[in-house]
Amino acid sequence: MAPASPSGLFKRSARQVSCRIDDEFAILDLGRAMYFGVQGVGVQIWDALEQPRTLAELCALITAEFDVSASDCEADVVAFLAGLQEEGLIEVAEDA
Amino acid sequence: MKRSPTGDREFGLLCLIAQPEPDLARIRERLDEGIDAARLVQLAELHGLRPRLARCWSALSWAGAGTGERSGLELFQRHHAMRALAMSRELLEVASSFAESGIAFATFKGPALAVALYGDLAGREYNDIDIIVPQLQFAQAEAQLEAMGYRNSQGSREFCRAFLGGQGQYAFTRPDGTGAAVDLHWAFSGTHVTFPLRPAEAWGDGDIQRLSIGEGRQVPAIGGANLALLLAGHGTKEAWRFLKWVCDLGLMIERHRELDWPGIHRRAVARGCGDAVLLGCSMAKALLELAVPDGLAGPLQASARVRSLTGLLIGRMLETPRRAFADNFADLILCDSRLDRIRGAVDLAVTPSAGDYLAMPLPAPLWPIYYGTRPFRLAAKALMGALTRR
Repeated sequence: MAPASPSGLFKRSARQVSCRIDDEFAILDLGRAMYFGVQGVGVQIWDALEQPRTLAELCALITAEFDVSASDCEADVVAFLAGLQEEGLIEVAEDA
Repeated sequence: MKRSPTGDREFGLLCLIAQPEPDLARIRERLDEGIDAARLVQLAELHGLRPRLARCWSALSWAGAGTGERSGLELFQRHHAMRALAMSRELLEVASSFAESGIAFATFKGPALAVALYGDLAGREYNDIDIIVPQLQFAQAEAQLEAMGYRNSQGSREFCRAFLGGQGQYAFTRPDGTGAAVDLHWAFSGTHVTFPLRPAEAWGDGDIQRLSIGEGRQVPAIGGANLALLLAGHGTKEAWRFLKWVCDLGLMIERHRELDWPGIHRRAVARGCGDAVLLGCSMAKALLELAVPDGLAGPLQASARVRSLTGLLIGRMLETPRRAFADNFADLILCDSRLDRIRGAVDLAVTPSAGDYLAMPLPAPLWPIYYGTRPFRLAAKALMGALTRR
């Protein structure tokens, strides 16, 4: 899987539906009928992905909300996005 | 009928929670005054408002909630979320199948209403998917559902045509244990009563929303003025038994005050059920403290019937147990005129239903006998009900 490109546009895939449960998101993969849960900072990221976002935009949202260094934030966000992408829950559109 | 005194306090709190924009400060005040938390959860379950209760209570750090109430609601939220997502998946599959087959359709209530008014698939409680199709395409839609693995849960086609044909809908479920359920409609109400919205308006000349269920997936759904008519009609048809229907209409009123509500009322009046719109607004005003839409305050104030019905139906919300027999004729209140209500009652009294078959199962060639036995069975049932209440 290709690493997250700084200029790539991430968005939720058409293969899923999701809903909010208090401070979590539940996601259903429509094809595999598998459920996923998103908690913690992942909630902010998934919520933000309601619109297509670049990595930089996502990191800016997180660093504005949490006390975390830019480098640590980017590493964590990249890892989280990689996990979502591996499960087919998000897609990377053409470079923004 | 016994009215629970403590139920009123918890019911009042539930009404605050059902408001379009719940006032958390007021809710916190009521919680601090002391409530029966178990009773509150019980009422929320009865009235289909557990998602809203859970959301408000969580925002207030579960003040006043016992461990049992909190864990029960949190568990409910997870199950409800999974079920809502599963039903959304079913809706997308059915929609795709119908679209490919050239079947005109629109969805309403269920996931569509959750997204349209609550902004989230799990924002409200629902147990099935409602889809309306043109009557001429009903058989084709029925066959398409069967090809997808659904089965009519009410009986064979012959049975349904004989005993349920006047209801305007059949219920389909998957026998695979998933709990997937589709109510397939060709009408919004039974043939014995009118309804504020004509079926053809669902996909023809009315407001059709392309509702997003998931990313890039849209389904045609009833929206705009048609949705207002549907919510008012459905709630009235069901005698406004549950607060969640008042909550639905309340959200519609509050989020869409720009709609031509006098025009909506006029459309319903033309269909012989204008009071359904006024009654819905009156229930929302009385229970949720919502201002009546512009232009409807006058007609509402002028209608003694609507004001009387509001008091009656709110009183019935608090009754335990519910009056089963009266509920069988509850949808007659859709009719503005007494003559229409009488016609509807006579129609119900003489048209055989599944209840007649269950009371006395006969082979199909003898089903016409039920036209003769039904009036006597209903009279006996009414007499037994009256004797029981004494």
